Formats: sequence, C-alpha cells, structure tokens
Amino acid sequence: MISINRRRVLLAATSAVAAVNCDRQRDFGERSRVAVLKHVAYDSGLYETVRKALVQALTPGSLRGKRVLLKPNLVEFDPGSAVNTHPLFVHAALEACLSLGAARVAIAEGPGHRRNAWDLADEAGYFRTVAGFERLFTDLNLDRTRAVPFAGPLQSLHLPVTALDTDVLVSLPKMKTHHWVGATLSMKNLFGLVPGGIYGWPKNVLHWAGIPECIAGLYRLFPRTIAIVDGVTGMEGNGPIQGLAKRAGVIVAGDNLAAVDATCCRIMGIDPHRLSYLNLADANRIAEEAIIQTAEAPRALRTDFALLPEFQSLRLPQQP
Amino acid sequence: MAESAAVGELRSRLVEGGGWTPGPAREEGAARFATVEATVLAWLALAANGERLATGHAAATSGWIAARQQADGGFEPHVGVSRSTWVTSLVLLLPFPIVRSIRWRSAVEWLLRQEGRESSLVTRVREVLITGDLRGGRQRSAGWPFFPETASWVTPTAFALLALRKVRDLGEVSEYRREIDRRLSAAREFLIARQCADGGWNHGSTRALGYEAPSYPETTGLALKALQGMAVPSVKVELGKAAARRHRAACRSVEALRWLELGLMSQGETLDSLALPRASMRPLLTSEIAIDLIARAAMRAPGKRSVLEPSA
Repeated sequence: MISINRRRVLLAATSAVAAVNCDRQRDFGERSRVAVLKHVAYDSGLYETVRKALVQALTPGSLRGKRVLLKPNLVEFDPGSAVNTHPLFVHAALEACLSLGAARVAIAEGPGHRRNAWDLADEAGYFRTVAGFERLFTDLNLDRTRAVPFAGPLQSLHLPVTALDTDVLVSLPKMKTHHWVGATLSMKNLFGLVPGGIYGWPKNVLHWAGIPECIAGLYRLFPRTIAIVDGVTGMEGNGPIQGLAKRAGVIVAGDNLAAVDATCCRIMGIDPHRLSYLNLADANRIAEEAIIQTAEAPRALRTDFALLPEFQSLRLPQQP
Repeated sequence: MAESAAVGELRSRLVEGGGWTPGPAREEGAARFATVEATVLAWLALAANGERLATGHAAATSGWIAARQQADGGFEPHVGVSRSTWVTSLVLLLPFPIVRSIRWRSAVEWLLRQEGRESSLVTRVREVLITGDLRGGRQRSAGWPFFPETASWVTPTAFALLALRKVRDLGEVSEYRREIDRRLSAAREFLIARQCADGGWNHGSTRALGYEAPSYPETTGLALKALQGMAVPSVKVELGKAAARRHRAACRSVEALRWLELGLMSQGETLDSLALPRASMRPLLTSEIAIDLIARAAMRAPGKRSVLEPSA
C-alpha cells in the first residue's frame, strides 16, 4: 500500500507544476548557461579553474566596472571539515572577478547560528588566505539595513544595505546535503543575507514563514546574482553541519541560481524537481532542456551524495 | 589590547548623535551607525571599569536609546527597524539611572508578553497531533525569542533572565513580581532542558533529526552566567562547568573566552587569570572589546557583583 503524507502530496504537486512550466520554458526558448568544470583539490590551479568557469558561464563584459559582493557559506568552527566554503575558493573567486574587470570585489556573510562572523572567518582561514580580508569583509548580521517588500507571510524583510546596493552578488556555497530541505546550494545560501542582528541566530523567522517560500523569495529579490559552487569537496549525509566530507571534484558556475542548483543536484544524484524550493523559485529553469551545459556534462560527473533516510525519495534515478 | 587602550577604543566608537557602532569604521568618512546591542555592552563595560561618559555624550546616548523604544514598549535593534526585539532585555541591563530615564515599565511589560512560539497552545497541540507525544515535551518551558512570534533560544532567554532579575531588584515592580518570578522559573527550566549532551549550551537545539548537537563556548558561558544563583540541580551545573572548562582550553575567541570566564566565575570557579585569546590582525568588534572589559573587571574583584547582576 502506498502511504500518502504531506511531503508526498507536496512533491507530486511541485513535480506537476515543474512539468507544465518546463513545456512553457521550451516554448519561450529561454535557456541558462551553466559551466561545470572538474577540479579535485584546493591548490593553486583552482584560480584558473574558477576563472574559466566564470568565463564560460557569464556573458562577456558582465562584470566590467561592477561592484561585486562575494557571499560564501560560513557556518561553523571546523576548519578540517567541509562545512564552510574553502578560503582558497573564495580568494580564487575574488581574483577571477577582478580579472574580468570588476571595479571592486568585497566579501560578506551573515552566519545563521554562530554570532561572531569574524571569528568564524578567522578560524576558517580567510584572513590567512585573502590579503586585506579585514578591509573587504562585512558581517551582514550587523550591517545597516533597509526594509524591502517580501512575498509571503512576512510581507517585508529588512536586508543589509551592503547586499542590496551591490551591482552583482556572487553566491559561493559549499555543495552540501541539508537535513531540512534536501540540498543547500547557491539559492539556500541567500539565507545568510538575512540579518541576525534583527531576526536572531538562527534566523528563525524564515523557518516559521516557510523555508522553501523564503528561499524562493530571496532568489526573486536578488536577480543580479551569479553562483560559483564549491564542489571540490562537498558534504553528504546529515548536512549542512554534521555531515561527512564528500569529494565531488567539481566547480559549477552560472548566472541563474535555479539552473546552477539543478545542475549541482544532478551531479549529487538528487532529482532537482523534487526539491520544493527549486520548483517554487523558478521551475522553468531547472529542467535539463532549459540549461545549456558547458565544459563537462553533469551526468558524466555524477557522484551520489549520501542522503538521510528521510530524503531517499529525492534520489535521481540512474539513467542508461 | 591594554585596558586603557580598550577603553579609549570604545570611546572612539561613540557615534555622533548617541550610541555605539558595532564595529570600527573601515573607510575614512564612512557614516557610522549605532546598534542597541553595541551601545548597551559598551556602556556596561565603561561602567564596570569605573569610567564615565562626558555629560554631553551620556545625554545623547540616553536620548538615542530612548528613541529606540517602540509604542509597544520594546526596543528596536537600530534606527529604522521599527520592530521590538530581544535587545529590549539588554536595555534593561543598563545602570538604573539610565533605565529610569526610559519608559522602563513598558519595556518590562513588553518583555513579559514575549515567549517562544513553540510554547503557545496552538503549536503544542499541533506538536502533540503530529508526534503523538502527549507530554508536550520541552515545549512546556517558555523561554524568549530573538524576534516576536518565533521560537525561544538560549541567548535571548539568558539575557531576559539577567534583565528581569536586575529589574526585580529595582524595588518598584511589585505589580509584576509574581509574573517575573513565574517567567524566571520557566526560563531556568528552559535553559536546563536545552543543555546539550556534552554539558554545555548551543543556540538552543540539542538534537536535530535524532543527532546530538554539540555546545558552543559563548552560549555555554552565557547560560552559566544567567543561571547564577538559581536553583539548578548541582549535577547540571557541574556538567556545564566541565563543558566550559573544555571549551576554554580549546577556544581562542576573545568573546567566547570572556563569556566562559564570566560564566565560570559566576558559578564559583576561581580563575588565576583570563585566558589569552588568539592573536589576530583584525579589528575587534565593539561587543568583543566590551565583554573583555566586563570580564577583566569581574576578575579584578571576584565576589563583587558585576554589571550584569542584580543590584549593580
């Protein structure tokens, strides 16, 4: 007998919406470009790979003269694990943006549980790796804010001016599984924009308002966002904090977060159509047909991330 | 940073118009803005070290704080937020003459009206229906949220506990006395229930999906400080102190170390000296300088009530 519960109903509904939207997508012919590059170690070669990923993913000249804000994922004091975006990856992204003509590149993050972002960055090795980090970094949890309209029950949300006023936001997440939403990638990484100084640590207001709805809402609020995903070493199992390191050996970049995250899911062996927040945010962009993959094919690099028992239904079927 | 330099640095972060900025200005001429958290901690740190603000600065900062009070009695975290949050507890920790300059009764009433959403009747009934657990579990003990209509967490509960104990000693709260005592008791239960398996405290989630979650140093110290002098089973206190000692031996964050030391000292631990934090090139946050100064003052005068305690 097949049991019916809320999650199954939600998954079925979102998949149906996705299917309809994909057809519409093909009609419109809008496609996102996503670059997938192999890179297996945090070494000096990372700089060139990240640059190549951006060159392949972005429209030429799209960073020229722009103020760029890098938003890594800083979560916990555990430099030996795969919990945070690697400092070398952040530095490589910074150099790549500058080499592509960005006028200024800054770094900002607002961690969700630990209150001292500067300590986290220090422990994660950011100060050692990025020269002048103290001048480049803003703790988004303590930044000046501005209220913006926000879809859903919250109606409005205060967000840091550093993020709102940048020309281009670059989401730099770690490729990880997530014990509430299945996977945390470039779109879920936007939770770090919400200021703990107002909403607290954790940013529990987002949980009560609905995690998928809030992820989708933030995605829509920041349309000028690109993503470079640190999948050199990711995290599997009980992510985003207590999971195990997973060597995926991949970097994924693009100028549409939904398309980038869908591609990451396929690499992780997760069906992106089964992630409710991806469907809710932009179902048009997550179908394979809606994405122009450059460099490597995600299918060729697929390396299944271990999923908690509760998330086995997210597993992407093996294709012949 | 030497004590006098720390005091000087704090003074340099006073914002024109009142209040303290949470961090140093990094760009010449950049407009600085103040937050309630930085302001309260900085002012407490100066008070702990016998430092006074010049009359003009004190008046400006008192006025700036008073202007953060909302119509509902609570305080917004900085200009323009227009929503009362957990920082209301921090304001009530200020020295009494300052507290008396605001509508402090309204602030106390606001604080007493707040409790974690998870302890509301609706949420508890829903929890019982979903889990089948008729006991309602830990949700029965109401703590405080960071932001209204959200769940209780360790940090805002600990600060509310410290603030209400201090307010209770104002001697002018007889009408609130019973409710304050009830909430203090519930907050104590909340903190006990949220003690991690390793003995310390994290943000307030001891288990996630069946996995034990480890404690954090800063929240362990803060929870121990908040539970000072309260009726807590000694085994719980000892577990907390053991966790604090382990964190103290391993962590190098000045903020975390000082909260651990304040927590340990408040639970009767004698420390030979404050631990050395990690040497770092980065500028310290105002809250870090402040908590460092508060801990140094507590270390200089063990046994004397600190600025975070009643009757200071």
